[in-house]
Amino acid sequence: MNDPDLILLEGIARGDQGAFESLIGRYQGPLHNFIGRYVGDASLAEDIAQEVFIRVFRAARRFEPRTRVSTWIFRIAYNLSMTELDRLRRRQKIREAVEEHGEGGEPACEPAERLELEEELTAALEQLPGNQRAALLLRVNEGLSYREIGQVLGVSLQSVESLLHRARSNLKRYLEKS
Amino acid sequence: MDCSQVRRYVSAFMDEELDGEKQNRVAGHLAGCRECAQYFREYARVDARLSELPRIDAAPGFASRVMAAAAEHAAAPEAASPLSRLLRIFAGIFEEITRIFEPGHRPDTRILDEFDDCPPLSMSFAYLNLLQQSPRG
Ligand SMILES: [Zn+2]
Repeated sequence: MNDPDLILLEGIARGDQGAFESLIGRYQGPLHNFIGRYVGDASLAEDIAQEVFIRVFRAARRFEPRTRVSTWIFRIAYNLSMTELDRLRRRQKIREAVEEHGEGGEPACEPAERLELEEELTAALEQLPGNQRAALLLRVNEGLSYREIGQVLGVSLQSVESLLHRARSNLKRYLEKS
Repeated sequence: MDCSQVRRYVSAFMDEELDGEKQNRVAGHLAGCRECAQYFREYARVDARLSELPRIDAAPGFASRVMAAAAEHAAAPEAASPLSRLLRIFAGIFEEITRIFEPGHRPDTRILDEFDDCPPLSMSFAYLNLLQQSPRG
């Protein structure tokens, strides 16, 4: 497999700081964007992206090139983002339960500079099931192939095709409504 | 290929992920069918809007922060408190035990996982997760 990132990963496994820095440089942008859009909160992206790189760093020696390095990195990001989203939703439920019992809570304040269109699209993305949202972001915003998306999500090519079809169809519907 | 088939393939057609022959047949149909062409344009508009989203990027200094954190991990795995070291030993034992009961080959979906120190769904994984979460909660 002609994967340029393998050389970097081998460097990281040998303890080469420069190789690690290069890998971070190559993926920090795509990871922040994917994670931030997936969890719907840009401020969470840094913590999760950092955890992704730490895991890459720790596991570099054990990586087996059955897949591209990029796919592996996105898969770690996807798994961590899913876990974080679950945790946030559980917290949200607890908070809502508390508020129902008269604690009262202030509505979240949206930053004023956030563009209306972006807000609308972000809200529409949030309504998609997680795997549809991930597939769509990986395809349209990060340019992964169906094969790569299948490896990131751990599903077949056919499932990727169907996830993307449903994601686009749902998003189209949500955007028409808003 | 009829309209309903074409519409099922439109998404994969946009991504150029159909096999060559299907790709051509969908293209041929779209060229001659106004309704399906409209359907295609609506899908393309969804993609266009998504692509217009401003990209979220790393804050300045991100790489240095990650490298410092990684160095800490690498240098101090044993510097943890005696309790957490003890728990780690127990976690290791748990992991070994769960391995014994694991079937020879696990389903393929997990092969790409981050090869973290313990396999997901193992007792030790759940255990370490609990450990990691308790100080935050
Ligand atoms: Zn038609």
